[in-house]
Amino acid sequence: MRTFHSFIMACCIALVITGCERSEPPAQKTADLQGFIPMYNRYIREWLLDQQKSTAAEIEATTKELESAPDPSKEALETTLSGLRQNQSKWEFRLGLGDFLRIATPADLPIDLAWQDGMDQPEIGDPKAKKGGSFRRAISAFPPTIRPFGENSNHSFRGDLYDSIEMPLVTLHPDTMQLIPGVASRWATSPDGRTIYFKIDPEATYSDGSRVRAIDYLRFVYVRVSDHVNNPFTKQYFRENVAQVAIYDESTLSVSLPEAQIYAPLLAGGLNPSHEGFYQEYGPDYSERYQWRFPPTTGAYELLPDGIVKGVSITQSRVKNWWAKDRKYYKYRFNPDQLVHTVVRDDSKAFELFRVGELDTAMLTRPELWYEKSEVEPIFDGYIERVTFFNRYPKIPRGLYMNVSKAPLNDRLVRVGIHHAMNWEKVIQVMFRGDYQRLNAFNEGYALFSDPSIVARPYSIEKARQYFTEAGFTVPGRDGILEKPDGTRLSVSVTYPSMPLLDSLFSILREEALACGFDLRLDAQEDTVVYKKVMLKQHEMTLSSWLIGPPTPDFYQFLHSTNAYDAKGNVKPHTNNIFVWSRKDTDALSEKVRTATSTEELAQASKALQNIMHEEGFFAPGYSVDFVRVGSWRWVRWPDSEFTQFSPAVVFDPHESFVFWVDDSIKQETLAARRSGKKFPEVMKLYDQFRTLPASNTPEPDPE
Amino acid sequence: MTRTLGISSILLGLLAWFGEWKDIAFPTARWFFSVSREMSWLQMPVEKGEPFLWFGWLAVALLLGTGLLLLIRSFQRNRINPITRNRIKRFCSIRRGYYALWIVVSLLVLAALDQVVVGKRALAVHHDGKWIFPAFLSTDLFNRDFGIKDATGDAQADYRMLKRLWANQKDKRVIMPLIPYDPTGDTLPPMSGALEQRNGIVYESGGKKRFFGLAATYLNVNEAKMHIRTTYRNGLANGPAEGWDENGTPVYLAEYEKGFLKHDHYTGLGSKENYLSTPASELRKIFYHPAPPMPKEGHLLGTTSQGFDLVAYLYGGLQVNFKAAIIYMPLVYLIGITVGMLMGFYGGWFDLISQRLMEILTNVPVLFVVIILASMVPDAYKGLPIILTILMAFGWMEMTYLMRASAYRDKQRDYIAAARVLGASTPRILFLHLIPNSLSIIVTLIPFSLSGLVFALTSLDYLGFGLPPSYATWGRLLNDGLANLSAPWLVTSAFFVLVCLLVLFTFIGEAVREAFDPKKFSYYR
Repeated sequence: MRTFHSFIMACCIALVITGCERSEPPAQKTADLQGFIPMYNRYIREWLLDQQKSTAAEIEATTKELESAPDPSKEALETTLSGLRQNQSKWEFRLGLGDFLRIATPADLPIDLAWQDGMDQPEIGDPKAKKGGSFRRAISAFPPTIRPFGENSNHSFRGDLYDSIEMPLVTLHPDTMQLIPGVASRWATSPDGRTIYFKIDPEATYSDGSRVRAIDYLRFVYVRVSDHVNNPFTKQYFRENVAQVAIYDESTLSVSLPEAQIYAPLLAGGLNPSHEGFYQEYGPDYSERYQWRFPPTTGAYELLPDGIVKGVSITQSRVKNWWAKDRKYYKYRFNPDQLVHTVVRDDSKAFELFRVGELDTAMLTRPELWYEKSEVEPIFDGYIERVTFFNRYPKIPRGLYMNVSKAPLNDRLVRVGIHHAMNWEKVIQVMFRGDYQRLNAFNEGYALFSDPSIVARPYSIEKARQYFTEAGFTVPGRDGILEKPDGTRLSVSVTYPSMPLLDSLFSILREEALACGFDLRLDAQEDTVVYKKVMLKQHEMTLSSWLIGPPTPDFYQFLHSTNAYDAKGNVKPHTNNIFVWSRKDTDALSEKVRTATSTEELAQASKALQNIMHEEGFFAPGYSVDFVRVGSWRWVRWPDSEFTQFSPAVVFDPHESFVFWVDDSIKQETLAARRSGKKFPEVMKLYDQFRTLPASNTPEPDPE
Repeated sequence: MTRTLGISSILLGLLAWFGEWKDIAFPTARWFFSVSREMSWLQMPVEKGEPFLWFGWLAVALLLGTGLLLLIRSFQRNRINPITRNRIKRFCSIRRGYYALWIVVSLLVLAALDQVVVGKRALAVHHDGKWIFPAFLSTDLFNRDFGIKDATGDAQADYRMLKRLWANQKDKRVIMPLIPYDPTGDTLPPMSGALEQRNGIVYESGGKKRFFGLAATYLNVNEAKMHIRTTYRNGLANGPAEGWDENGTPVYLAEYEKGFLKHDHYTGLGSKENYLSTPASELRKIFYHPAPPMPKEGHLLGTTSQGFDLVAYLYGGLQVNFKAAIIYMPLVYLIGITVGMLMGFYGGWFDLISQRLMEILTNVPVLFVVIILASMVPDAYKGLPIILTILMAFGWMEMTYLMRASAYRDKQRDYIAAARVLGASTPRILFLHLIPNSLSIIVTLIPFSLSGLVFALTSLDYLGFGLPPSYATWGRLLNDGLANLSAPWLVTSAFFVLVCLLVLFTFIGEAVREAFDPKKFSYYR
C-alpha cells in the first residue's frame, strides 16, 4: 500500500513540475512582408489570367449557344453574356493595373487630385460629456478568441472588440451618411472612380504610441491572406473585390477597386493598419500564438492583458492620450474609462442584474420588457431612466418571400391577393401591442434610395377575394377555401422556423386568411431544415429577414436571373434569390444598383425596383421596428446637444456610436439616494426627431 | 354495462354516418369524417369528385360493428361472472376510486358535447323569421348571410359581434354556447378593463389604489380599436401618449408630465381639435395578452399569450386528451395483449424473436425517437393521428410481458387442456378462456397507461414536438406559462388541470388494483 501511495505522490510531483509551464517555441518565420509581396502578386496575376481565360471560353460557348438557341431562352442567354462581358472588362482593368500589393514612389502619385477632408459635417455627441467612469454591460457568451481574424474570430463579441471601435481610413457620418475622416485625414478619388488615394493623419498613432505608416496597410493584407491563417472569406474578398493596394511614401497610399462604385472611398477605406512590432512573431502558428493577444489599435479602446478574465469578463480600457481625442468627430465620444463586459448567459438573468444595478443599461425594445417587466420600483423611483429612440436604420425586409416558380404563386393576381389576405395589422396589435409598424416595401428606409410613396397593401377581405376570383379561384369549397372549377384549392404553405413567437404570429395570419378563402398552411420546421429547404428553393413561401447594412441597398443577390436559374433552365440552389425571380428589366436595374456611380442613378434604379417588387407582389412586407428602447441607470448620460439628441440617426444599437458617458457624481448621488430611500421623478423620454410617421392612406392632408 | 357501451357505440356510429349523409355536424360524431377530410393520408383520391374518406367510413364500420357485437354479447350472457361481480362491488365500495371514475365519466360526457359547450359558432340564430343552427352546419355561414354588408361581409360570420349588434332587437336572436370562444384559431383583440376617475385622478376599478400602467380611450372597445393610449403613473398621465385614426394609422404623439400636456404633434387628416374630440369610450385599462382573469368581460380564467380564451383552451386540451385516449388505448391493448398471449402460448422461436425485438425497442429512448420522428413528418401529415401512431409503436410493449407470463402460466392449467380436448381453436382458447383469467392484469394497467399517455402528450407539446398549433394542448400552455411567469394564471391553471386529471386516473387505478387483487377474489383461493 505504501508503495502505491508513494507512486501516486511521485506522479503528482512529476505532473506539477512538468505540466503547467510550457515555454513557447520561437516563431518560425517563413516569409516576411517583403518576401510575401512578390509571391502574392504573382499568385493574383496567375489567378486573373486564369479567370480571363475561363471567361473568354464561357463567352465563346454562350455566343455559340445563342446562335442556335430557340427564342424563349435567348433573353436569358443574352443577360448571361452581358454579365460575362462585364467580368471580362474587369479582368482586363485589373491586369492593366500591375502588382496587387505595390510599393511605389511619391512620383507615381497623380498630381491633379482633388483632396477632400470631410470636415464640413456636424459634430457628433454632446460637449457636456465627461470622460471617466466604467460602463458595465452583459454579453451572452465569452469569445472563443480575441484575435481579429482567423479561426473562430467571427463571434458575437467581435463588434464590441473591433468593428465599432477601430478607426478605418474613412468612415460614414452616422447622421448624414457623408464621408468623414478616420485615420486618413484627406482622401481623393481618381477620375475613373476606381482608385482612392489616402493621406494618413500625421498624428495618427497606435495605442502603444508608435506612428501609423502606409506600409502597415500592406501588412494588414499580408497577415490576413497569407497561408499562415485559415481565412477563406477574407482571402476571397481581397482576391475578388480589391484590385490593388499601393503605397507611395510614409503616409500616402491608394486602394483600387475592380469597378467604379458609389461610396467607393468607404469600401476602399475600410482597411486598418497592422502594427509591425506586434506581428513580429507572425507565422504558421499564428492561430495559437496570437489567440489571446490584442493588437495595438488606432481606436479608442484597447484590451490590456489583465482585462481578460477567461470565461467571466472582458474589460476594455480607454487609450491614454488617444491621438484622435480632440478630432472633430471623435472628441465627445468614447467617454468611459473602462468598458466591462460580463458574461451572463441567460437573458432574463441579465435583466434582473440590470434591475438591481449590476449592469448599467439594457435594451428594452421587446414589448414585454418595456411594459410588464419594467413596472418595477427602480423605474418608478427614477433610478432607471427609459428612452424610446426612433432611429433611421434601413428597415430589415421582414416578410413573406414567395417562390414564383411554384403554382399558384406564379400568378401575380394570387400573390397580390395574398398581400391583402395577410392581417399584419392584427399581428402588430395583438402580439406587438401596436408598437411595431407595418413594413411597406423591400429595402425600405434608405433615406435616399427608397421610395416613400410605396404603401403596403392593407388587409382587406373584399380585395383579397376580388384578386383570388380574378385569378380563377371562384368556388368556395366545403371549408370555405376558394377553389378553381377544376378543384385546385387556393392553398399555399409557409415555411418558417418553429418557435413560440412565430407559431402565434402565423396562427393569427392563418385564421384571418381563412376569412379571405385562402388556406395558409403552416410548415413550422427546425431552423436548419428551414434553411436547407429554402436554399434548395423547395419552399412555397417563407418568412425571412435579410439585413443589408447601410449605406446602399442591394437587389442583385435577390433578384438577378443568374441567381434564379442555371444555364439549363433549372432552379439554381444555394443563392439568395429565394423568390426564383428572373426578368430582363429587373436584371438590368439590379446591376445598375450595384455599379451606379452617382446617388441619383442609384436612387432611380433602386426606386424602380421597389416599385416593380410592389407591383408584382412576390415580396409581402411584414412588420418593422423603427425604434429602439433603452433603459439606463441615471448615471449613464446620453447626449442632448444641438447636433445629437440621444444618438445619431443611423444606428442599429445606440451603444455602437459611443456617445454616452458615465457621470460619477450622479452615480454617487443615486447610490446614496437609494440607500436613504430618496426618490427621483420617473423619466421616460421619447426622441422622435427621426421618426417618419406613415403616410395616411388618403391622398392630401387638409390645408388648414 | 356491456349493453350501454354497445348502444352508445352504435349511436355514435349512426350519428357520424347520418351527419355525413345529411351534412349535420353532431358534436364529437363529426370528428371521424372531418379529420379524414383534413388529412390527405386519411382519404383515398377518386377520379372525379370528392375523395373517398376511408378513415371516416372505417371508423363508422368499427363503431357499428363493435357496438353490435357488444349488444349481442350482452343478450347472450347477461349474467356477469360472480367473481367479477364481487370485484365490481368491491370497486364501488372504494369511494375515492368510485367517485373519481364518475368525475372522469362526466368530464368525458362534457368533452363529448364539444361545440355545444365551447365554440365561436352560435348554437341557434333567429334571423329573417327563421331559426338557423350554425354550430351544427358542416360549412360556415358568412356575415353577409346575416345582412352585414361592410368590408367583413365575405368573412365567416362573427356571431359574438352579431349578438352585440342585435342585443336590442326583438326579432333577432343569437344563442351562443356556454363559452363562446374556440379553443384555438380564435385570437381575441387585446382586452381592456374599467377604471375609475375621481377629481382628475385615475384609480383602479373599485379600489383606492392609484393607477399605474397603460390606459386608452377606444373608438371601439370590443374590437380594441384605440383612439389615444396614454401612460399613467400614480393616477396621472405621465409619459408618452399615442393616437390612431379609424384605419389604425398612428397619427398623434404627445408627452405628458404629471397630468399636464408637455407637447403634442398631429399628422393625420383634419385638425387636431377635431381628432381629439372624436367620440370615444371612457378611459380603460389595457390588458395585452396574456390578460388576467376577467369574469365581467366573460373570460373566467383570462387569456393565453396567443390571445385565446383560457377556459376554452383548457377544454380543447381536455378533448384532445380524451380523443387520444379513446383511439390509443384499445389499439395499443389489442396489439399488446395479442402479441403477449401468442408469445406465451406458442413459446419457441416466435417467443424468442419477439422478445429480442421488444428488447431492442424498449432500449430505444422513446422520447428522443418520438422527437426525431415528429420533426421529420411533413406539415401536411402533422396532427393527432401521426403522434398517436408513433406513441403506439413504442407503447404496446407495456403489458406484453405480463400477458406473456400469464399465458405461459395458464396454458399448463387444466381448463386450457380441457378446452383443447374439447376441440377449441387457438383464438377461442386465447380470447374466451385466457383473457378473462388475465383480466385483472389488464384492468389494473389501464388507468396507469392513461396517465402515461396524457403525460407523454403533454411533455411532447411542452418541448414543442407534439401536435401542431391548431390543437389546444396543455403542454404548450405549460410552456407558455413558464415563459410568462408574470402571468401566473397560465401556469397555475395548466398545472391544476393536468394534476387533477392525473390524480383522478391514479385514484381509479388504485381502486381497480385493490378490487381486482387476486388475493381477495380468485379462482384459486
